[in-house]
Amino acid sequence: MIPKKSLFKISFNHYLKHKIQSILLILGISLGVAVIVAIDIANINARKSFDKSLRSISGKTTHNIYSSTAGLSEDLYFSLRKILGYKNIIPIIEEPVYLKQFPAQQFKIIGIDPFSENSLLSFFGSHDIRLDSRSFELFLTEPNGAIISDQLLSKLDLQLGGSFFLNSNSTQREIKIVGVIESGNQDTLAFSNKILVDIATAQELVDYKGRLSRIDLNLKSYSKDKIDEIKNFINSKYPESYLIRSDAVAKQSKKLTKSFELNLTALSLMTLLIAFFLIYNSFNYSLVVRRPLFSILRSIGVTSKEIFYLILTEALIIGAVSSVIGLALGIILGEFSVRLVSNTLSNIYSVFGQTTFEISPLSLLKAVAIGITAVFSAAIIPSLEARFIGPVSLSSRSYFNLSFMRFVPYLFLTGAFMVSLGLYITVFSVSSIQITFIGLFFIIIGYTLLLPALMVILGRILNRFARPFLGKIYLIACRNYTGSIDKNYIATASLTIAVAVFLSMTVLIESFRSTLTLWLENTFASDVFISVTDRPSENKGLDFSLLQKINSIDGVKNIGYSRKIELITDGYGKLNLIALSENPPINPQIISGLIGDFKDLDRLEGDTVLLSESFNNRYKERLKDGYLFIPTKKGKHRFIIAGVFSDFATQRGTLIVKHDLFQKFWDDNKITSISLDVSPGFEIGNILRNIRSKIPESYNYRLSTNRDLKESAHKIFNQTFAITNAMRIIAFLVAFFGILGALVALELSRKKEIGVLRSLGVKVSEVKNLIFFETGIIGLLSGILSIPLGLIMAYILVNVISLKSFGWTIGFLIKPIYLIEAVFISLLAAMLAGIYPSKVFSKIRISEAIREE
Amino acid sequence: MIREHNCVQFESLSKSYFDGDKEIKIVEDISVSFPNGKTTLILGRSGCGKSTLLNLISGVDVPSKGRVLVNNSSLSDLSENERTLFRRKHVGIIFQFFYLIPSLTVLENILFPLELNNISGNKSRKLAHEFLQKVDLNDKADVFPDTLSGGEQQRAAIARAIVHDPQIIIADEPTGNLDSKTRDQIINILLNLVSDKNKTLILATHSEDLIDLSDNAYLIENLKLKKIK
Ligand SMILES: Nc1ncnc2c1ncn2[C@@H]1O[C@H](COP(=O)(O)OP(=O)(O)O)[C@@H](O)[C@H]1O
Ligand SMILES: [Mg+2]
Repeated sequence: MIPKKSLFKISFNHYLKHKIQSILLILGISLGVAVIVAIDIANINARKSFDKSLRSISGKTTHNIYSSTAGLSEDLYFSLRKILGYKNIIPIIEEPVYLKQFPAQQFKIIGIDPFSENSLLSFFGSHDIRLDSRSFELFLTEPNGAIISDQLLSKLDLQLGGSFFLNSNSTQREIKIVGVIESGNQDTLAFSNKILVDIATAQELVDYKGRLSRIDLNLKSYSKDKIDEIKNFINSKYPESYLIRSDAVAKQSKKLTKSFELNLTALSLMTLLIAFFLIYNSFNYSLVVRRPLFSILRSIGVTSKEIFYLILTEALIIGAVSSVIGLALGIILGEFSVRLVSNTLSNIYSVFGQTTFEISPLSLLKAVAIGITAVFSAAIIPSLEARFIGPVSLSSRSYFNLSFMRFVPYLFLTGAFMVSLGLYITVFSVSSIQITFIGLFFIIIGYTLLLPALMVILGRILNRFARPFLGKIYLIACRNYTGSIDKNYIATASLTIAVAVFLSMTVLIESFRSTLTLWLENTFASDVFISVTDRPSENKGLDFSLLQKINSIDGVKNIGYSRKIELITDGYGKLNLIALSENPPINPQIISGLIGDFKDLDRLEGDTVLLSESFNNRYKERLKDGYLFIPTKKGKHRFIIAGVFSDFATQRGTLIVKHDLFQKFWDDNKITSISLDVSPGFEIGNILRNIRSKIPESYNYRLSTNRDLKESAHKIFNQTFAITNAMRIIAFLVAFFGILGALVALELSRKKEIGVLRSLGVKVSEVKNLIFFETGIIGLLSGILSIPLGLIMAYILVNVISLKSFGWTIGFLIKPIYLIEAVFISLLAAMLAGIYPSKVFSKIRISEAIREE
Repeated sequence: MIREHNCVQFESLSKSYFDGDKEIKIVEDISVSFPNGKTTLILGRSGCGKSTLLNLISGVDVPSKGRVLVNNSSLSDLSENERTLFRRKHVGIIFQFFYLIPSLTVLENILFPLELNNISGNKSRKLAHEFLQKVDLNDKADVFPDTLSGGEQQRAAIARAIVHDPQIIIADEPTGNLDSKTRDQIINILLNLVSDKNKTLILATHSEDLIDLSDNAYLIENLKLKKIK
């Protein structure tokens, strides 16, 4: 039903007359929609990045052959080719490299066999990448020709046909660009940090003469027996190599990403909730303000149905306008959050810079739907109320509050039930992480239902205790709080939730930070660290001879080293294996295990390993017998689990063994990190300079002092928590806008009352104080109310979710300052919202305000 | 304190409003004196400018031209803040729609102007109760205004307007929203209190019933104030 024209005009004029309120209303709803869009975009794109990083180079691959050392023998490839024929077997080099111009950024060199039609097909065929025939021809014929992405081309500031230098261990080589792949779809984006060359060039560049990074196999048409036969062949002839299904690695990564996704989803649901409140709030107030108007309309014969439809039409129009603005805003915000998320991803999961930016129509639709639903649900109650509106007067205010107050006990009971259920689910029962999140939501929703009763109690306390100290003006403010719980409720609820989110994020971040700091402090105790920056592999590392040279420097003592390699296992996906000498760079913090407090490696006897906490948690079931099988150069071997150490360095599972054990099974003679202490009386700068002079230029290494190391760790930490931090800021912004819209509308609706006060002789400055006092009460009490919820949420995030999803045990840290900060933030948001109404009221024309209309 | 014979004076006073560019004249170049301790009526049909004139006297509004003198000093020379303080101390206002503060009880509403004038403690309580007695609202002291009848609300408003002992009481159609029986009661209470305390009352109304009860009466007509009593 379309409202009558004149009714429509009344509404329209109302919005036109109250421009600031209208702008705030639209802004509030837009912001709500924008937040939904932004988080959704971040979520989807994070998932996409993961999926892409999981895709192997050749799409038709069913199995891969990896080596537990760096590189496979080419002979294996040749022998397999004899068995399997050319068609289903593809040799590949895929290794990190550095460009001279961008020493800090990792690129990947991809070497394929350009003459094997199959390897080209599998590369280009599975990726939707088009290359013109001229480039293709050049790629086949040009000795050092490479194909790169247009993004890299512009980054290098080069043209097609130009050339650039690639650094490798010992050489530098000029590479000529023979082809450029235009970015435009997902696959080309995945290609952006890759340099495609022919396999021989790649082998030379990464010192892989006679070796391969891996072999991709397509064994779709082979029976299980045949595959086992191939497996046995590899095991007997090349024990350090092993065949695994391609999806084994992917599966493990999927498991990892799921937890991250869940966290993002939880964040997005939380913002959704806040956004809903924000939208509801904004629209609800635009209606509350007009109760007198509606009652006049009713009294002159407009039916309640007509008012109902009028409000719904308004809701539709305002919802639509705000949604459009919100979508635009959300896309901008989304781009920003994608960047934050990608930082987090590359820090926690070493997903290479493959972030994408994609907007799905579905998420836009979802945002608009939620926006309009919120507006509509905000419209329902007041439009139903319109039925009961009586004659207008300044004193009729309590009617609505009274009818609202009747529901308070029921709301409280429902809320208490929901919170208890939520607490039971999250804290006291063993349940999956999804269920934990549902429990968290029960708590949040339940808590908002408890709020009206809590507001009444707090308001009463305030009235009782503040009364003797307050003048009548401030008494008015206190009374307005308890006297208009209905009007203050939504503002309080959204402020409370937003501040609770803020508080829980603070506690989460600070708990993580303090745990990490302690861990860093204990784990890295040496004065100086030297570490290889290349990805761990056999030939990428420092030579043992270097150890002697550095040890001979005056003032160097307690020298120790470690070796880190990457294992690809079929049971546990990719793992890091770290071998430690005496006085190692890493001093693992044992949290449980056979050997108790870990001080020296001598206690690690026999074929034993230490497991990282997250790894242990992830495979608890499979590891419960106390041992695991690991591929070694001598084939698979059984290792006893000696203990579990806490590891915040990476989400990837990490194993620690003693270096002599490592030597026995892997026969490796490189070093990844060296650590040393500086004897008293020696200058650390001199020693660093001395060390530098001993290390050949061609190494990619980083020399850092203890402080550097910890600083960079904190930097990474901050990047990792950028999204959490952003959430915290969004929570505040939402709180601010929510409260701004709400309070501005609420205060402005009291124009007449203020006019009366002024005519009774209340000064402008006193009116200002009154407004700030009123908004301040809402802010203060919301801040106080947010503390229990914030702490419960933080407890669940820290103790339940981070353990369940990341496998990390975090020390729960609450400092009084966080609580004070939360109350302060709440108060600040509310008081800032008081500025505009107090400005308006200080310029109010009294005669106008008190005129009978 | 020497009280001038004339408490409030209009001196070549003009007042107009602007609706956009359009000037709406209410009164033009009027000079009138309202004697001290007397009741003066301002009559006129609805919309002729009665409230406007009262607002000029209370300092809620300022004239477009000319001056409003209270005790021989010009309100226009005061700052906004000073006018507020003037009103707080020397004026009591009674509105057509009562305009009690909804979040204060009846007693607190009456205490309010006392508090604004820094009268507190036992003294203010005593005064407030004395006036509650006078307007016969003893039993309603601790209830909120929205539970009172219109007549009761206006009685509370009268007490609020006089309790702090202002020199001038301004009543803008105080009975305009009440039934006739209540109207008489309210007028009685108001006039008794005013004569009791020797206040200057300026009362705006559109009905001529009250002319007999007043000392002076003016009619707003053709932008002028015409003395009819
Ligand atoms: N603030 C204002 N702005 C514009 N016009 C006004 C304002 N206040 C009053 N008026 C107009 O001035 C005229 C006199 O108003 P008012 O003094 O309230 O009359 P009365 O009290 O006699 O009914 C009316 O026409 C009214 O519309
Ligand atoms: Mg009037």
